[in-house]
Amino acid sequence: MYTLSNVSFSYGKRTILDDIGFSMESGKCYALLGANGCGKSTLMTILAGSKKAAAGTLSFPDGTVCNLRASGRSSLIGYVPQENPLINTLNGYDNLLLWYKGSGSELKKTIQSDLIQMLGIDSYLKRTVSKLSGGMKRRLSIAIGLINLPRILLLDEPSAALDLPCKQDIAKYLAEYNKKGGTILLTTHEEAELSLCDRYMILKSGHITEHEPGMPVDKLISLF
Amino acid sequence: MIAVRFFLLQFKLLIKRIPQMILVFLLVVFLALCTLFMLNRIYDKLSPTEKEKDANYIAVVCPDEDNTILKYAKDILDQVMGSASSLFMKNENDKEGGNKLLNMFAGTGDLLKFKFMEEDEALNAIKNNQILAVLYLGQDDLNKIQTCQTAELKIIVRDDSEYIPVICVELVNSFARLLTAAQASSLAIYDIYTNTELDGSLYGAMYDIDMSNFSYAMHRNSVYQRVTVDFSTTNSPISFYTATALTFMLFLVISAFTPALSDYEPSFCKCFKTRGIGIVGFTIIRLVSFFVFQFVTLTAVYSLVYFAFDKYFNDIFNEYGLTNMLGLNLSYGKAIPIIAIFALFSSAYVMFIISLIKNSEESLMIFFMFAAGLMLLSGCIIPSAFFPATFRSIMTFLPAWYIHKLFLMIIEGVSITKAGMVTYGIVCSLLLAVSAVLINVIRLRTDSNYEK
Repeated sequence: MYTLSNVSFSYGKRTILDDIGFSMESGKCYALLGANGCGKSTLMTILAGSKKAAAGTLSFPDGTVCNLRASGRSSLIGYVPQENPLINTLNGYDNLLLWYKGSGSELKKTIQSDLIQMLGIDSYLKRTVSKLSGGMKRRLSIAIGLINLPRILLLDEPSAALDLPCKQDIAKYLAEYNKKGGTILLTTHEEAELSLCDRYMILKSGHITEHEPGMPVDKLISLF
Repeated sequence: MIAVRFFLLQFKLLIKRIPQMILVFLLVVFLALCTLFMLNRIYDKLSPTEKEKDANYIAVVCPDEDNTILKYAKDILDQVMGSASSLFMKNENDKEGGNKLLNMFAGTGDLLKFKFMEEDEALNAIKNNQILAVLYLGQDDLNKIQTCQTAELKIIVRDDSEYIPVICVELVNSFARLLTAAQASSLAIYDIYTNTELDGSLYGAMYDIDMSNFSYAMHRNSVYQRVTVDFSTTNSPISFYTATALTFMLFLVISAFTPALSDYEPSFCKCFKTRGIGIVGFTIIRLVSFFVFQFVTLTAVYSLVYFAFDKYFNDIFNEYGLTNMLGLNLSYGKAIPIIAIFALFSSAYVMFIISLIKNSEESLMIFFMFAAGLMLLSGCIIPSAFFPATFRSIMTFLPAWYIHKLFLMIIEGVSITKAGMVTYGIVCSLLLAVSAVLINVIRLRTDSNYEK
């Protein structure tokens, strides 16, 4: 069980996250939902280590505890932001190499692992990113998030701005990832991705409420 | 590890721009040669002076207007110069220098000549290689000669002139002999000095050559006066606008290195932060990688041109009156720090432009607006003399002012390792680099905050 506790964050006098906490089980997918500007991305970036919280901890099943007031947990948590963190003028392999913690030869082995193979990026690793389609870039970005084999994968709107076939592919991949024991926390506005989730976390006025999945959209929206 | 990888990947990004950079560079060189060719032809039409005929002249400047002995000065110097020329032939210690001078006169059979000039005219003439040297002869100097005292004479010679030791030594010796002869007799100097077989100098003379400042002072024993003359300003519009054109072309070459900010989405910096490298670190890594890449590339290109093509290009530039342009009046070793300063400025300027653009399509537009505005405010388009005095002092902090001055110095053959210019270049480039980093950080922070 991954446990998030007492997370607080403010922008000046405006409180975004007010002592929030929740738990996540391994191999499950969780959706972080809320209205625009409620703080979903802020929470994601805090968990990823890009921002420092005013307070809060993240505990891992093996007893590791990360202080969310510090950064440096990229080996434990993979983060895939909404915009692809790719350098357009380099090829896919170089983009992966940039974020990989090991050597180039180790990267080649990691790319051959099931987790990355499932993404199907082999065929275009040598192509320049600017020449890839939106779906390919998205898969490459997810591969970057996974390349260091993190315990939790954070996805900020993973299939935003993609066409329907790509959305389906991404959804299929996330489902497979879950089956292999990966834990996912994602923010989304897509119903297809919502259907993958085992639990909804709704962020409103700085507080989190947990809900069972499968509720009608109207009811879900009323909770925002 | 990610910092090192990112640093190395920047090189990969910049190497991809080399074909684009080569094309721009070739275009710039072509435009530069066309500009120089046209300006040189215009200059020839405006100034039809025959330089070769004046080459064996020494200009004499009498700065004191009310010079009662002026009427004797011409004859005195006539004898001195004539004596000096004959001494060249007899000089056993400097046969090579003497022979060179004789070879120069071989065609015309002339001896050294002198002519009186106004100071401005004399300084321009020596800058343009029309005369060998400028000798200042003030009232005080003439009085001292008349009263058999040692005069401290100021002579200005081009520091690339190979005749320096010959001219200076022989002129000193000539004046020493003059004084010796005057001491031996109470007759007027003019009358005494008709005897050219007088020798033996009681006055040893030493001269001090300041290679970087175009000034030489002759002195008795260890007493000497160092005089500097600033050749960094010019009245020649041809030189000025040649430097302006070269400055603009330099900015154009730099723009070829400008990668678009869209290469890095704001989310890229967010991911960098998850690795503990903030926006400041990200920006500094980019700046350092630009700097190292440009320094390595420019040094390689300069080395290739210097060692392989130096003579060939110098022949071309000499034809356009730009002597030793590629050598920059420097040894190879001295050029490397200059290249480093330029690389620092160039990378800082690129970072500065990046902070202002959103995509590569905007980069050219921003470049032209910024470069043109910078050049206008730096006195590269309208000379600084037309700006208010207060603004002129602010101008010296703008990088385009420095670059323009550098080109002007190269065109006019002034050594660019004058201490002030090098220090100024370093300070200016560092200031620009710091500004570029700050603006980039603010820009990236603003973009990432906007995302919320």
